Amino acid sequence: MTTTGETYDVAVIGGGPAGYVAAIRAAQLSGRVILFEKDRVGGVCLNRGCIPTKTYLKTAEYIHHIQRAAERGILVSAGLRVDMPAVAAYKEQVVRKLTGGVQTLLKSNGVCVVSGEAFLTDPFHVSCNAKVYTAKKIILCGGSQAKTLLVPGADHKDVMTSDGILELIKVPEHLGIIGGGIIGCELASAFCAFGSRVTLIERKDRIMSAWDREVSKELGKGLSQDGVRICYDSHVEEIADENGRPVIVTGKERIACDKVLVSIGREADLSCLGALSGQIRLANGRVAVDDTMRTSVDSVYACGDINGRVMLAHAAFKMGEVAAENCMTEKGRRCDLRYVPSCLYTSPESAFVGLTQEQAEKQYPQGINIGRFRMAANGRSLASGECRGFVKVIAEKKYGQILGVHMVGGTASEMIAEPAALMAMEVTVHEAAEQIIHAHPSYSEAFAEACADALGRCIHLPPEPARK
Amino acid sequence: MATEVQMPKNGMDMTEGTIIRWLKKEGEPVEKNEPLMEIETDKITMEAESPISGILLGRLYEEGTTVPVLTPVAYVGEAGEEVPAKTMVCAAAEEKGAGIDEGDAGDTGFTKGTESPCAQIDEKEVAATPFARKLAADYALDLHRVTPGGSHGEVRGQDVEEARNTMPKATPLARAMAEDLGVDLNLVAGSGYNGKIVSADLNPAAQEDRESTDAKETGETLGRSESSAPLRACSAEEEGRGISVREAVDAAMAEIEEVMERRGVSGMRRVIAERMSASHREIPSVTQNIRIDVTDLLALREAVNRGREKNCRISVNDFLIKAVGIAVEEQERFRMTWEGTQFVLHGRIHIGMAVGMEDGLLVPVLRDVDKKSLGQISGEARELAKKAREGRLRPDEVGDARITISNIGMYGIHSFTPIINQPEAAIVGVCSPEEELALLNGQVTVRKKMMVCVTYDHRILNATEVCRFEQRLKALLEEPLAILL
Repeated sequence: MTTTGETYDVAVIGGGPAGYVAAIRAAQLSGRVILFEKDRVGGVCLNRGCIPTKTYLKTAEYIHHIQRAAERGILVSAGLRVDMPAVAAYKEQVVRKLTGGVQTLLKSNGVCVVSGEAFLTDPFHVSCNAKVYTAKKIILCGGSQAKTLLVPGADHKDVMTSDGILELIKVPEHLGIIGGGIIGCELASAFCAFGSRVTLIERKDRIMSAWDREVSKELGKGLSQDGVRICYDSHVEEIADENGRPVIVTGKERIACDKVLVSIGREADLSCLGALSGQIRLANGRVAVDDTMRTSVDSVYACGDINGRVMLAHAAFKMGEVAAENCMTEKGRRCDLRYVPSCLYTSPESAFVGLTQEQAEKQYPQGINIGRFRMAANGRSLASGECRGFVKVIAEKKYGQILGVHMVGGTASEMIAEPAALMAMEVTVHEAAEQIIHAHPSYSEAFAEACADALGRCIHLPPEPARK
Repeated sequence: MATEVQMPKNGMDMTEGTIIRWLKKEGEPVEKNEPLMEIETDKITMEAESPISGILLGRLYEEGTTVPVLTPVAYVGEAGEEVPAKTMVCAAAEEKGAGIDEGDAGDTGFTKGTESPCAQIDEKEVAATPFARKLAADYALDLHRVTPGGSHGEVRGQDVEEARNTMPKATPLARAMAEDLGVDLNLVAGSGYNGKIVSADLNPAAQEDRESTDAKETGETLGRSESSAPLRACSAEEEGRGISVREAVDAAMAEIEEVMERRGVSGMRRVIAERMSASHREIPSVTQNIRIDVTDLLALREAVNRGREKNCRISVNDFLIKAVGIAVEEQERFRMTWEGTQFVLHGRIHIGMAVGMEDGLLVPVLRDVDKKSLGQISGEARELAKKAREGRLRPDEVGDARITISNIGMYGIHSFTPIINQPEAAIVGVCSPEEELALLNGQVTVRKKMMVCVTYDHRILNATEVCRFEQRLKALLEEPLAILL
């Protein structure tokens, strides 16, 4: 192996959301930066996650609209048919545009991008393609990979992770999905619209089990209405093979499918630790970091899915930014991840930020107020013909601090930006209800109404005693 | 317009101050922040500065006068400038000083200047226009903090707006919390963007608590509060077990500090820790020890107990409770509590007795010791100690004692310095009776002597008073028949 003569200020392993942002930020701060990427920059998010799935979900939304067009007096004469290769090609086009954009950004910021698998050889050296690179600081952004199912038959050729399912160019007739988290629910929603019969197997008594219970319930109802069959409290025991088709065997039934998606979570990809694996401390299989994103080895930082703090691209962006600043300056900036919104782009879509009701009740025993507003009473929702969902605001009683906001319906993933901003700025439910004016008609009004409801003064709801 | 100099309000509980000495003569130039007068509050003496540079135009009060806080006491301005009608200002201040109900001042429509109809005095004595008052209320801004810009020294709307712009930056939540907690945001260092004050700056402890709870719950995060502690690389085995980072950090620290384990604190231990620290911090305490000959007391006790059932025998402690009760009854300063500005004399004689337990300490209280016989006291004391150990004490069986007795005589202790159980004036520590040779009527005899250690609050009691108390205790215990009477 040869060592290159140059010493970089920052070396970044992995060009996903955490990595490319860290590289650009370090370059903005006048650092000499090198980034290693084994695949395409953009990471799972751009290539095999957020962006391709959102493209599919938008396609699904079109389908929903077309299917329901007659309600509005639009008569579509020809029948609806999904051309899956074209759907996939469109998605690929979007992905290429975005990854190309990231490449351009890296280049224009003077980041040296090396293509190849990289790993640490010691706290100041990275090996890639049989060359060793020297850096003062190293940021690990190795990302994550889908967890695999550990049951007999899980290696069946038609059992795949989200990576595989996004490559399909034929809509499976019956799609079995194991795991009702974000990926499972979103792909259930998309393939259901594309025409698959979808069966979702969930281990717990509700889908999206890390989210607020009311949201889980509403989403479960929504998916079921759209035609997804959900099997709750079901443990997969094995994947059997019947005439070449995979059969999901749970404790309760046997579900014969054409394709099976395993979406039971993601785990950190630790291959980049290299020679320092065993030395860099881990926690629960992820690289342990402090709030400045520093690992147990002083010169090494870790951001994004690899540290598992919050496995979301937008959290990774922030972590990458913070790590880069801490590599380049002595500020010791801390990454506050309390107000990271989470979104689910099913139909209806859903989002939340902050605490669930259960967490809030536990952490604020002195009392919380909960305000709710159903989309069925929101003008924009009615006009749009989508009345499912609600906004739920959880506020602490004494000062009115907004602890959590949960949304289903409307454009939840966009609407969540408002409470996320208010919470980060510590605007209380009082100001939200009293001082902020929302456009009418808009989905966001529902948030303002829920804030007012938390204070017992919602205008567009009957008084509490009259509600039941 | 001359600027008024007010009696400063130094701290929440300062209501008035006395002008001890003027440091400048009328007509003398004074610099901004230069001391103008010496004032005295009920707590301290300090200098008060001039808010601006100029000429001291008028001193409104003689030295030795006590005036309410924020009352104008002088004017500083340019030479030859007129000062507002002195008599008006003085009259109001004196009226206020004389204890006229505060609400009245506003109703009389008193104005600080002579002409302005809008500059009214409210109960807090700040002249402000109604609009300014409304704005201040809207912004939750203390009018005292606003520099008046009106021609008669009144606060105008624009002054409030200006003050608001220079207010410390804080989030709405932090503002609400500060108001509720009575925290002055000017004294808080903000950790948000550009020094903005966020809720965590007001209550970092609570925040960390919550975060550590989070960390424990998820078992996966590295405690935010611990970020400053450097991480240590761990071995492969540690990883394999999938332990949380917090546990790993704790383990690493334990290794360094040779900590065997970290234990949670029981509610009782926490209360004891808080109360003992407060007592130690707040009370100027002195401990005085006296040696008391208890030979006769022990003999009397034996005589009294002769024939008594084992479980209803009178203990030395019972004699002590009774004797202390007598001494406390005779010496009223031992029945006093200190309330910051005054002594409070209490009538009933309740005596606390420290009961040591497996994990902590409780002080059940014997009520009205002076009205009870030794036998009664003995029975009650036994019952209370039992209940304390079994955790059955009722709320009315603790608290409100005048003095506490802490007896560790059974453990061979020679002397110690007990800590006062607030707000009591003193605590009596009782040690072991020790045999020693003594000359009695020319004969060498064996006598039993016992140390009694009294720790007292020097704000309430002084040495001679406590000497008298200890003398009395000594007399009672050395001639114990008096206790029985």
